[in-house]
Amino acid sequence: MFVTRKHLSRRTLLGGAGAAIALPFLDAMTPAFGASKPALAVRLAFVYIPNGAVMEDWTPKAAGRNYAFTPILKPLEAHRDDMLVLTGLADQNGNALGDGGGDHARAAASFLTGVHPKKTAGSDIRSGISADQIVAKHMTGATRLSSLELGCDDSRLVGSCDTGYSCAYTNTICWRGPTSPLPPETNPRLVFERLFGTEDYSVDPATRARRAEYRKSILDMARDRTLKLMGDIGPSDKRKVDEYLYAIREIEKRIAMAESDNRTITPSVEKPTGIPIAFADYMKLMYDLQIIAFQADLTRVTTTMVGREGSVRVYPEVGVPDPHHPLSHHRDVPASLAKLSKINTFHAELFSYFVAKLKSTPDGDGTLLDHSMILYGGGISDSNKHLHENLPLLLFGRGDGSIKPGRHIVYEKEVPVTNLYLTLMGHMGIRPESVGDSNGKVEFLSEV
Amino acid sequence: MTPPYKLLLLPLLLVGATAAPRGFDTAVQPFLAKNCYTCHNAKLLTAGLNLEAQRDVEKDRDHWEMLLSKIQSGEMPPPGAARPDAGSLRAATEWLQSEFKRQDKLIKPDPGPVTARRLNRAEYNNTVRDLLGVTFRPADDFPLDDSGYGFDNIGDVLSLSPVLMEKYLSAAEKISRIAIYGEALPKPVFVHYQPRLRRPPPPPSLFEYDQTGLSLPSVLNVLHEFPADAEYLLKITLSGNRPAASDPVTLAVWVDGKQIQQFTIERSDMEGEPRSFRTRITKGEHLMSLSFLNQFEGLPARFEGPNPSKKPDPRRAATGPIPPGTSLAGRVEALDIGGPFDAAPSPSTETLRRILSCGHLDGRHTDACPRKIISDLARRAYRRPVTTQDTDALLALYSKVRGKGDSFDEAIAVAIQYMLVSPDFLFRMGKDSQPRSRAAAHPINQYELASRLSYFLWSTMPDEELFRLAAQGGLRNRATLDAQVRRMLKDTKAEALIDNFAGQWLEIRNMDIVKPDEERFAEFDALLRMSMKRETKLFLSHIIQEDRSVLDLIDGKYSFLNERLARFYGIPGVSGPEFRRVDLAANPERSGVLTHASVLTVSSYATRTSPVLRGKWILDNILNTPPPPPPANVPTLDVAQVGASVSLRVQMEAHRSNPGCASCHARMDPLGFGLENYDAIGAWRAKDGAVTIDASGKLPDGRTFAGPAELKAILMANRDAIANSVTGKLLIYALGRGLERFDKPVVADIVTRAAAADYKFSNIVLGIVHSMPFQKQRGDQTNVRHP
Repeated sequence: MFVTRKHLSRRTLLGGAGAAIALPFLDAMTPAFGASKPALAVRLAFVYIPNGAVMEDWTPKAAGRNYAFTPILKPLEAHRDDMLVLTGLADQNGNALGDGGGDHARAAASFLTGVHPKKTAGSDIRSGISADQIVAKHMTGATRLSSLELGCDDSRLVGSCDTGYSCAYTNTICWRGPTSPLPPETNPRLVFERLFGTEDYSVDPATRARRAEYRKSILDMARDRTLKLMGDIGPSDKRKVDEYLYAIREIEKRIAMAESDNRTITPSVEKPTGIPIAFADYMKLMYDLQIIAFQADLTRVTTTMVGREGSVRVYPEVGVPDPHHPLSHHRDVPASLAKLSKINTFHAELFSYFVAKLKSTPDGDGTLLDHSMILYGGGISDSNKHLHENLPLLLFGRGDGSIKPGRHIVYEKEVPVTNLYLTLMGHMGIRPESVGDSNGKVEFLSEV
Repeated sequence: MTPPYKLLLLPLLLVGATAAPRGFDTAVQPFLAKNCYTCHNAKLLTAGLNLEAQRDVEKDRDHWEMLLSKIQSGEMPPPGAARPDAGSLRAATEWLQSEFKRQDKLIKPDPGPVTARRLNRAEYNNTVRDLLGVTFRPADDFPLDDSGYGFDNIGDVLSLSPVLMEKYLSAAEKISRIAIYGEALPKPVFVHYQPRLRRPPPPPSLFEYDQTGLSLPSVLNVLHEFPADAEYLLKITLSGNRPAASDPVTLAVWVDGKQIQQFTIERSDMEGEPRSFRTRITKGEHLMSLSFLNQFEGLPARFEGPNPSKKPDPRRAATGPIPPGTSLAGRVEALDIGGPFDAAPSPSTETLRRILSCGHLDGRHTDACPRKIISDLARRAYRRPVTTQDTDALLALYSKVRGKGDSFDEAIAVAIQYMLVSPDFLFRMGKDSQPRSRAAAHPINQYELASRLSYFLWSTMPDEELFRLAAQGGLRNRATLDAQVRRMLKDTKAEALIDNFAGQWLEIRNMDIVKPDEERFAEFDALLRMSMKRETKLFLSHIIQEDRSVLDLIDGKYSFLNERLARFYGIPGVSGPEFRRVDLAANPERSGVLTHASVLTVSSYATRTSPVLRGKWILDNILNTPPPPPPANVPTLDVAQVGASVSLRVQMEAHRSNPGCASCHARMDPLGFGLENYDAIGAWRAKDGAVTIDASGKLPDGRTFAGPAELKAILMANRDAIANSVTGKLLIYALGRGLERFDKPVVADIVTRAAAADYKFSNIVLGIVHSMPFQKQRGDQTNVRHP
């Protein structure tokens, strides 16, 4: 996506306006993107919970407006008027469809892609492009980072991941393309550096400028060298080296973008030193960083994996010393169900912090929450049977203003969750033909 | 129920009966007819299998191999059916085995498809260390590498995302600056450590106890990452108390098991008692321990301990037993580590020597120096001779930087910065390689051979000796290769094989992240974790360095212990925090990796053991017969009794009584049950709660065992299988790709030769290095431009 010469540069606009202001993205500044012209700065975030949920404690009994909050959703009760409980959406591609075991890998790999991933433990991983990355492609050029992928679980280091599936499938829900999974960043310090750079601000501006120029020369040299190299190597080496070229191009674009944006973004928080020890602190820090990213318009689409699929995190702070994944095979044992429910509730509690902060952050003529669409949920419903129907999903925010929250919507037959993504993208002015297995849009979001 | 292989065989049902090889109808078909067709026929289709229609042993090789293994192991015919007559079973299995051999002989040798391999995290860190002498490890911040076939160095699987590219760029900038200017110290901070909530249990006697104090409840053990070689301030706070009128006690400060400082604590009431001192500590992660030495000496006489105090005891007249809970020793309450202080950044001479190949370490360079320095560095960074294009581009960059008014140092740093992100550095590629074309295989060039060797055995770039041999064209000579491999295995850099190969193969890398439940396993502190890791590391290191047989892995009757671990294992006569070799003839329950605490811990959950996990670990890693994935809909087990009154074995009985589960669990569970005497952190136990452990098992082929020693004996009975498994995994790791059908003869050949040499480790490594897939690649040399 290359920016044409005709657009107004931000420099022109900001002229004397000073620095560090988050501006809504004005139409005049966007080049013609054809059918996919982005709307006002609507933010999209996906917060993914692994290993399913205790659906009896999740799904409210009543539909419509005055439903009672269930135990897992209780921490979110203060946000009743800002949320939609969505029941009845499905991710059919999480099912085996002839491939045998591996529901966790499939759940993660199909949740945002709507594509049935290829069953392999090695070389030839394949899924589809994920919904957040479709949005990110449209955002290229609009924000400094086209997207941000975060995670709060160390990825599986060794050993086999979900039976027969490469660990690349369970470690992420974001795919830039069918063969390119995007690993989430799990260290808050590194997230901070992605947002604000690793630049050494203690050096004088002239030196900084020279160093920036050397960086560009280095990128040019790398690109030239690689293009020459392509003539000397075989086709599958080419495929690998092509990833390298693509990466260089992306970085060059981002540098060009950052240079044309003369706002000085000074981070309002101190750089985190690492991963906080208490999980609650860790999650809240990751949520805080997203708020800052949205506030300063560094990106408009984020994904957060509360845990990787198959997560074995323990939660002794809420009385669950057992690792999450084995516990989620509860076999309908009441004690296990109770513990699993505690984990789900804990996650909802921490997420409630995120929603509250979004609500209290001003944005344009409203709050960040008003202009966001935050989807909280996962690709597995019943964790014991590994079902991918009737997924646990909550939608927060009003998007471009047309989403009307405050209800529990029950969809009659298993509607593909990708239909929801198609709808949400529409509220950002992005209208692809389809997303994975979508077959239309979902109804009722904008009705009262 | 859906047995896992049903779906594999579905397409086979569509295959009509084809011509079978000679002998099939006399040796195999009658056997099948008598023992198998009753269920596996067109009408009944048991397990979706119609054996009557299967005759093509070549086309459906995988299917026939599975059939052979099932009749050999006794899994089929299933329990309850009549056992096959021994003679016809032997005839059928022998025919199938020789048919497989015949087919294997016809396989065309093929070096296989190896794609460009980018450096993974460990390789990146090591290469930077050896290229520039910089020990800063930037790859620790890179995203985790994707892994395939159990390893994170598989060419096809390793991807390069824009995020990673960004990190390469900023790492290159940082490394090149550290190399030229030295490392800038981070700001000093204080890090506070307190002991875990639950302490280890106190020792049973005042005379028989760990006199170093390192495993007593009073100790504090922490692992701390020291960011630089510098001075640090250690502030210690004590609490608790010794009985009044005790002698003073000594507080010792240890770094990595070596004492660096002692303090005398005179006061019996130690609440809030502070001590502090400054000391120099090297960069990296170190185990800091604070303990009381000989802490039960010098107690008042009425405690009847060793070397009682001669001080007048106001409570001397008190008679009767000492009330329980009386505090006999103080505790270490907290450790604050402050720093780093007092280290000025300066480039290390080691680094400067590697970079300034013109020899002018004093900085008085001539005009010829830039070209010399840059081309020498590039040759090593790109791991091949440099071309004029390479050096011209780099010199142009150098001149640009100088042209802007920056110094010689700065210009060299920027040139290094480029080298570290160039594709020639980041990727290991075969010249003229055509991995997707099965055209004539040809030898890889000498430099690529040097790289393959060094990344295989050292996870780093070749050293000067390997480069020299490659330059002379003599590396491929058989005797030279032999000598080089032996040299490399003896080098400390071969530890990379343990960290990276064994760490992933045996899954012991997970020892860094396991979190055993603090309540149940209160004694699992930093010291115990470190000791468990170290035992396995030293054991493997010994096998490599002393060139032992790989079978020692299962059954070597020795290990390496310190006092902490020896006490944990209940092995007497080991004192002190250093590791030393310990003979295990009297303790066979700890011989071999299967019963190392590290392996037992990584194959358990945080709160309990799992025979399934452990059985799977053995099948995956030792026998290389991984169980198939579980079926899509695991039925809800009807668990009647959940509670401490019912053993894990009984609770898992349903794995075997439910036929849909049994076909796999009958292979996995018994192996795990054989290890049930070891709890979730590897400690020996006779009971699990109220239930006595029953560590017996029965394998599908009928063999039984009782306890871990007999289990190991059964595993050791098939030495070839173990060697086959080790060789296969080592080959995957060496080649950076998964193994295919045409690799089987290669592995078999290596194992046969190794068997004649008692399966020595170096023999297997040499077998791999001399093998065709290691030395050659696909594709021919015509039609490709040379630089």
